[in-house]
Amino acid sequence: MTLKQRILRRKKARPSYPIVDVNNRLTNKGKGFKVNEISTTKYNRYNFLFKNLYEQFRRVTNIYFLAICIITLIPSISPLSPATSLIPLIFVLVVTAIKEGFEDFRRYQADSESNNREYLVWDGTAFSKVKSKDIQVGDIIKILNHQPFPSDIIMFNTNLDDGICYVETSQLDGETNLKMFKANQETNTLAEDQLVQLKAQVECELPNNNLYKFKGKLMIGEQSYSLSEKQLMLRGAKLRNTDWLIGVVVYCGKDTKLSLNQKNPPSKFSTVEKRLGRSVIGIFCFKLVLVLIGTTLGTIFHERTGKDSWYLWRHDGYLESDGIGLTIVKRFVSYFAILSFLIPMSLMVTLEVVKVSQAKFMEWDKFMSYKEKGTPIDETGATVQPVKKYMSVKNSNLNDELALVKYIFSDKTGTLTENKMVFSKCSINGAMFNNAINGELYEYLQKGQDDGVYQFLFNLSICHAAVVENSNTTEDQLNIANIKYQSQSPDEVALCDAAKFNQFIFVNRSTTHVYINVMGQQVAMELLAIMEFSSDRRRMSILVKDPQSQKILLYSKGADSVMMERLSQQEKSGALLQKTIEHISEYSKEGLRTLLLCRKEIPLQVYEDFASRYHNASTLIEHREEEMERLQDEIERDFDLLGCTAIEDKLQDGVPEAIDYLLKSNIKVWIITGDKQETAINIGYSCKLLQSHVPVVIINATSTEQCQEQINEIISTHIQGQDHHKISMVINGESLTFVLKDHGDAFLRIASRCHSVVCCRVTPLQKALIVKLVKTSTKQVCLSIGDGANDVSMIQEAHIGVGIFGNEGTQAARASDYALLRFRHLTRLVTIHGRYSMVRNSLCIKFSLYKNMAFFLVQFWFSIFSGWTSQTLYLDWLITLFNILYTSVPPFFIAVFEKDINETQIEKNPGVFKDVQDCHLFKYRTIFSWLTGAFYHSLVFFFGIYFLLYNDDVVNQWGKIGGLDMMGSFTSTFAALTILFKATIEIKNWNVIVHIGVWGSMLVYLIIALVLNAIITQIPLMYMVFNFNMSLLKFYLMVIIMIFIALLPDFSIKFYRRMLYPKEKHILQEYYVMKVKDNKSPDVELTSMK
Amino acid sequence: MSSKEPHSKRPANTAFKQQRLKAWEPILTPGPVIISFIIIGIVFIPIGAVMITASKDVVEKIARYDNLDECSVGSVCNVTINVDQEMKAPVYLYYRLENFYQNHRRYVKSRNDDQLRGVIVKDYSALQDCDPLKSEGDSQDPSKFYLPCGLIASSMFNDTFIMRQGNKTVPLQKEGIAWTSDKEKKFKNPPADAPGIRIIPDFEDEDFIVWMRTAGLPDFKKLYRIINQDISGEVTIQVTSNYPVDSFDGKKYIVLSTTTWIGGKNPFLGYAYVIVGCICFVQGIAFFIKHKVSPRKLGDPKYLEFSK
Repeated sequence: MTLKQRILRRKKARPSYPIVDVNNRLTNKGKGFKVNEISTTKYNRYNFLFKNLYEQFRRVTNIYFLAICIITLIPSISPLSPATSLIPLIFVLVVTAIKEGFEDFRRYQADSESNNREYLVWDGTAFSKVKSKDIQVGDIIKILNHQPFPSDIIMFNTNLDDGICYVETSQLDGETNLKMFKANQETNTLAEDQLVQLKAQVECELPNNNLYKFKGKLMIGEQSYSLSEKQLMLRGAKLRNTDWLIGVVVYCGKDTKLSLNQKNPPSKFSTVEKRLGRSVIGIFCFKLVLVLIGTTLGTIFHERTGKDSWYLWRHDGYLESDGIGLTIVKRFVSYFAILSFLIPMSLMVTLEVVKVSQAKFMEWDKFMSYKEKGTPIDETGATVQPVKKYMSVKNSNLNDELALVKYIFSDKTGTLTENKMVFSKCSINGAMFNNAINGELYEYLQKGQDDGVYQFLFNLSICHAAVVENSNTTEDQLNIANIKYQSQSPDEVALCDAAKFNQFIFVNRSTTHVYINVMGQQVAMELLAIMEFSSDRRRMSILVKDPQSQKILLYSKGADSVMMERLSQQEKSGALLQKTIEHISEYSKEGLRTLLLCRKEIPLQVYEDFASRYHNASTLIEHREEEMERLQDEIERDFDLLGCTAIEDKLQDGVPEAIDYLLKSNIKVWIITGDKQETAINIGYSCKLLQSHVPVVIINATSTEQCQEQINEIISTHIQGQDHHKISMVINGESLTFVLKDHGDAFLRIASRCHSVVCCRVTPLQKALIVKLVKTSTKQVCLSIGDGANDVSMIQEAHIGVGIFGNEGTQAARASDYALLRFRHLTRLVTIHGRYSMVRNSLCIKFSLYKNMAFFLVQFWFSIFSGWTSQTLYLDWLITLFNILYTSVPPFFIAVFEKDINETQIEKNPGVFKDVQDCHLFKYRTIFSWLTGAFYHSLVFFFGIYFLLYNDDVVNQWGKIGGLDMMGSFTSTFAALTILFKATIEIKNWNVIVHIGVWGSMLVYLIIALVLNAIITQIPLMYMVFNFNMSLLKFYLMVIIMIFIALLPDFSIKFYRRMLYPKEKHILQEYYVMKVKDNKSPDVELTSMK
Repeated sequence: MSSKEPHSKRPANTAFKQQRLKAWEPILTPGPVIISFIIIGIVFIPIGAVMITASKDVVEKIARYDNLDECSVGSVCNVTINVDQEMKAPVYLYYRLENFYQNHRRYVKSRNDDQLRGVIVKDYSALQDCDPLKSEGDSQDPSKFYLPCGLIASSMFNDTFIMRQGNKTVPLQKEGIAWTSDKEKKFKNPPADAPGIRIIPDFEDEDFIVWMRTAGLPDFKKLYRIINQDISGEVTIQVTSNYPVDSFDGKKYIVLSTTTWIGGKNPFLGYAYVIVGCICFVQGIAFFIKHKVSPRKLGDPKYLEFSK
């Protein structure tokens, strides 16, 4: 066998998992099964220090500062004491480590709770209690009602008939409805004592993360039986409505589907963060230039003057000066160290803490909370008071990115609408019924008429996958009217309810029968097969046998476009279909969701042939789905039409207002829906996405050429003209495929001019493609919002993903960056929290860059006059504490509390969002102008003190001379105060905490200065210097004038800009302060935002 | 698993959590800004003027002597200063050095403050900062330690001055030339039997203390003596020149100066106040005119671009 053949063989070989021996721990040993103990923690108590440090030093800034620390440890070349860079670095490391450690400890607690939960495991003689972490693959385990599954388990039997059980999977996929699972027929007949004696083996596929697919084989003796996802109980799910379940453990710990699904979402970075990164690199380059200048001039100085200065080089009676090479190295290293603080070390940590705090404030926001209407029911069946729920932030990295949103892509069902379906109307056999929900159809039947109504209702009550809540009490259905249905699809619940109100009550479904109560009579249809709904098939069918007539019947329902193709030839050409199509389009115009119901009778021999092939297909391990789907497709044909249903899905409160506000905020809103064109347009109008004064263009081509034509026509009539009016666009899914393939650019030309876009008849896959197209070609910030599993790809594709906690589970919310409760909260999230986060973070960053540049560039200017030796002007301690104590609080508080415009003004003036949308608050130009300001301030600081001491350093009337230490302490005082006063110019919103923070920082500086200057043993140089300063009139006069010289331009420019070139935000600030604040309380709330 | 469910616990509906703390929202409105500009102008200009006058009142006489042939190192010479304006007592006698880098990194750190405070340092490694002058022959033996160690102490300025007017010697007062805190706490003589090689005989010598307070800039003055009598006319200062500065192009001066409440002769602070005051005043007036001629109505929605 050649190598190539071998490789091919290996590829073809089905990957398989070692075969699990049921209930035999000895033989399972050594097969490489994972233990069930889980650990989601990053660290343990022994490796925490080491591993955390390793993680932290993967950050470039930390390595950079570590390098600086090492430089400062070499006394002969370091201009700084090691403490100056070591203490801030340790501070940063410790803060981060505490944060990480705390998060990890919480994970540890959660792990240890689930590891130590006790389960009943067969020990050879009896079921005994075993901790979850000691469960092993192959163990026979008994799960009791309400117990969560400790690992992935193949179930053998339950206390219920046919070995069915109910499971809640909300921990896994967020779906709160109960799902029914069913044990294999071969094992569900075995009693408990037989099961524990079972000599069997289980063959499973390799562990994978697909929650909804499983293939395996159960081998008892020579016989082997197929296993599917219907027998696999997943870790994280919970047993419900079932007293007990016995099964065998097949996947443990890290092999469980839950663990394999726990992946970290892709990390997203905001524009601000990226620009910050590049700005820091820019500053670093600037620093390198300074270092090189300092090194060059320092070396020249040394060669010309320095080495001849005997007072610097005497050594035991002779002079011993450095050579030129050593001088270059020393200068380079010491400049590198002394200018290290131009990059603010603490900024990265500050930002992390800030973003988490901002997220907390969002989560606390009562205007983004929601209290469900009606009374939900808890596990025990008792009604509970609805709780107010709050939004949650999953990724606070993007807080400021929210302010840059230009495109919003929204799902419709469940996002814009309630996703609470109400059966509205129906068309049966060509006749329209508008009041079916109130028993109209029942009355119709009571009158002795039929016209297909009976079959229609029969279909409604039987053809679905809904489950009756607490169905184990079916034996005596005393109160049929109180039956509640649960289903993954809210449409099905609406349909079942409609049938129920017309006395066709679905009672229960076992593995063999469907029980319904037809107008008071129990009917048990023999269940032959269920062909489930999927978003690809867009239909579902149920194959049953009527026990009385022995007829085989196939009931089916599905999307009208799919079902119409599957009608019999006779129906396709019949008048009934025409009539029904008319009704469907009428319903669509009202924005209703339609479904077509069909039925067909299958001859016995056809069925038997089908059944045997279908059974074979269902036991296949490979290509099972494909084969089954092919067979389903084969039988689901030639239907008779029964009628159609129309279901209403109400818009959520405040959706039109929210969309209107977003459009006015210069955000382009796209709705992406699977609905028909008419339905979609209608919904577009009702949620104000389409407006009567904005012309609507439609692209609904059936070929790529037609698509091209339509696009060209739109461009020539609407885009090329002089008149730049707004337009809205409607496009269907078919055209989108052409657009995505061939006409992307032309389409975007239109789309970029479109005020709003409705995409209808879109498949879930296309959702992400649309977002990707717009994202990559416009380079604008895109936000996707959706509620269902089919929106996940779109949510992850967009720059910002927003999920809605919906009736369709929380998958979307879990994949998102921000999870909301209602669509209308989006306006507040984007235009208020997003705006404020932008204003806050950008100011915090700019200020941090500014303060370090202004304070530490002085060192460079000073070095010109100290023989280019990078002697520090400031006291080491003041350098150390600068970033961690007396200038760290204002930027932090800015980033938590700052507001440029009052909320009420933002709510009233959506247009003001434009102000932040182009990120002008954090452009490179803006950063540069801040740094230029810092450059100016540093010049003022240094040359102020230089001229004060130039030629005359007499400081008081007693002729005393100050010296270097006094010079440094003067400079650090007015530099620190100026920097803090600079913050006061920038801050627009002064609440009590900000006041304390800013004025407190100044006080802290003075206290530090006084304390430092009293410790003679540790800091002899500073001893009494500050006290001496305080006794000088010159000191106060100097500090005051320096603050004025530095800040006068900043202040004046601010004032001139406001007076001469006012921006929207200035006007709104004035409007608020002058008009609103005095007359009303600032708590004015606008209805559109609540 | 982190919380996957929406937050259902009810956060306290406090002003803090809702970010609705009462806040002061200052904006720069013309009225207060114009008034502050003008007030600053009115206050700063006179303050500056007073300081300029004070600086002008200072009489300062300066004479370079290192370039005089007779004042070369090792000789005694006379430097004559003509005081044409009367200098009122107290008059301060300074020496001034130029191009002398007392703020050189190597120099600044080269001291041991424990030694200077009279503490006996026995640990050689504690003298690290004094490099390159720690002990004789870099010996680790405490009896070879320099007392005090370091470049600063070893390079103390040692020219001496005697001042004469006519034939009379003008009495020079040495007490009070150093900072009080330095004299009281920072400098103490070690015990007489302290081991080491004495570089400076008396650590409490005020000349030494003054020298040890290193200057911030390469051109600096240091207080030498205080003269408690008025001076006018010609004065002669007899210089004993010991201190070499030629090798690094240094310059030596004698300075006589009076002081005022603000210190010595330096008009910088005064001019700074006057200039800032003027700028503020002019801005205030300019804006006042602009505000009167074509005021911009505050908070006028017509400036809102989006509402057009």
